[in-house]
Amino acid sequence: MSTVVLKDIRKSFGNFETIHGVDLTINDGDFVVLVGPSGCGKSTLLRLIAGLEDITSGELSIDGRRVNADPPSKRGIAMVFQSYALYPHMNVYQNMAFGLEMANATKAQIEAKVKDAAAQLELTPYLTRLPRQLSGGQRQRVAIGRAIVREPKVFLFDEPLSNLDAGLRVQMRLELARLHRDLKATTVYVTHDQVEAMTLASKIVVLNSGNVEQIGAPLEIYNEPANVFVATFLGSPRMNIVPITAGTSSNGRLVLKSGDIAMSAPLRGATPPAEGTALQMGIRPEHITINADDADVPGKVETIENLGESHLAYLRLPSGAALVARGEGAATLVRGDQVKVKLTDAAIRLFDAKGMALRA
Amino acid sequence: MARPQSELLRARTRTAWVFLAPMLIVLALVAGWPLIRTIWFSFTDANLGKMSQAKFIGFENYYASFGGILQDPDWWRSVWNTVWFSVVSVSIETVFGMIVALLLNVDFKGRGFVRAAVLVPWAIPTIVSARMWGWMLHDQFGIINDMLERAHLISGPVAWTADPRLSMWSVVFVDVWKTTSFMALLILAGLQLLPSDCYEAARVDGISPIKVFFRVTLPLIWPALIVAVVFRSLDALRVFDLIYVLTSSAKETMTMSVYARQQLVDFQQVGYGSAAATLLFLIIAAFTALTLIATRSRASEG
Repeated sequence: MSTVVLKDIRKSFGNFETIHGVDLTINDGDFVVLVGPSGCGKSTLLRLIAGLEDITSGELSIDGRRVNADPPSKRGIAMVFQSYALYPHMNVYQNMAFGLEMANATKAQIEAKVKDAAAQLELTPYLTRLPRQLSGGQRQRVAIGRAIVREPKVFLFDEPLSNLDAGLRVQMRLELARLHRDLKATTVYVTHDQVEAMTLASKIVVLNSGNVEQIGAPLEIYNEPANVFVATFLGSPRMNIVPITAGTSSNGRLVLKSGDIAMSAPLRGATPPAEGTALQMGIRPEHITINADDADVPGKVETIENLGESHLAYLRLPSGAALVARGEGAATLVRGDQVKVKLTDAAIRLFDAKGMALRA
Repeated sequence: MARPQSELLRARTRTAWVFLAPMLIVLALVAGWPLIRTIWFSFTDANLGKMSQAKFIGFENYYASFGGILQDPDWWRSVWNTVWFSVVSVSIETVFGMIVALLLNVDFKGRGFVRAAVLVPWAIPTIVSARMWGWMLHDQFGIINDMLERAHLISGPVAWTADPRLSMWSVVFVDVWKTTSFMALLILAGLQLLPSDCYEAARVDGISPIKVFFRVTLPLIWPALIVAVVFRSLDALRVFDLIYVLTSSAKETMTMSVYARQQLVDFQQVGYGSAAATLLFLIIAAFTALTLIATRSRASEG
């Protein structure tokens, strides 16, 4: 039973504040992914939880106990580093056993734990190898093994897969998911890779310049972004954002104007903004259909990218706004084609001029 | 089995020889030729006054009925002095150098300045620092005795460099003062290559700093440390200037180099002195060969 609670956590380096008051509750067994662009403070936040950096202000508790002043080893955490952080001169067994020697475990206990972890991670044949004799994926598994043997309350991962090649990353992602199912341990995981965030997390925390932008389940964040930053950060290609002007509203729908084009979108319970208010409309590429029967927005094809299972069409609207649409299979369109597009009504998201979502 | 060499490889080998040639020629002139001449003189009865009348006498300078070097107790005393000086000074320098390097490896304000300042003793030419310490350690006018007397730590002047019981320690002290910074610099270079994430992993694992030092830091900087110790040992084995300036040719501190100089210059025995120099060369060559073999077998282990 390990919950981690962050209350108004702040971190300053000198006079420069990098984490601006983070509130976060991580429930027992949660797999929380901290995601954000580089420099957003996600690694710093993880290091604050680990105790590798001092918390400037705020309160951090693990299992209901305040741990602000505890050294990392007293917090009941284990950490897996981006660069693995294995001891280069120790073999796999010694790497995993080293941390246990301090915990006053007997030789037999240590051996049992290490062998058990090695078996779980398919490392048994490599126990006497040195880190440099292992592949990247194997090294990462040793680093995970070293965390497992400590039987921590909370696992901390700092971009653990970013040094692996693409194929291995997918495989390790699945292994991490399986490991979390087996161990049911509370996990905090830092990544800049949105696919890792979407697939692994039970809860995603989107960070931007030291602020929490949104906390929620992966699909909740994907479907209901709280602001333009979150909307454009998750999803590839990113959500289209088009500046528009609010028109009249009636029956829960709002008329949107962009240049000469006018269309309408559901307000989904939000208070209708005054006519003439500058707004932003968001729509994901998969919610734009080209040349559908009732397509009404004209556009011109600028570029086509064939991805194999799908294709991307980069369109330019008469107002000058750019849109990306995703279609199935190979594209039949070519550059320069004049097309008409249809935006899936229910998938349109509206944001105010500051980028905050219009919500009920 | 001669493998047919590719044209490219042959061209590259030729280029390599062209680049190496100047260095090889200079080395042969300034090191090879004097060395061969010294070895040749060691087999003659050459005298500084009448070099042209030198006769070949075989191994008599080394071992003979009238007494060669190997039978001279003063020679063996100088060998013992050299070994003692090398072992003690290099050991102390290694420990102090390690401490200084560990301190300089920590990030603090003004570290760059301290790093440069630490190197000052090493940057001073040995002859200058030896003279400087010679004055400071002077039994009548030296500042060391003056300070110790004012502090009531000694009752009368101490002959630091003349007292047979103290002179060797004085020499070791000055050598440590001078070369610890060099040792620290070599070790610091090793420390800076260490992966910092290992130390964070150790912090998370709650491993005590002392254990981290002995189980992580020391094994990882071992290769750099060995190189530093070998460098310093080779230097210490041929020590001359420091000892000659501080204690002249006193028996208590006489090293192999000082012995060879005394025979060659003071006693004008070029043949005998050359024999001593040749022995010194052989001892250092043997030591170098041993460390090379030892480090190579260590490297191939890993």
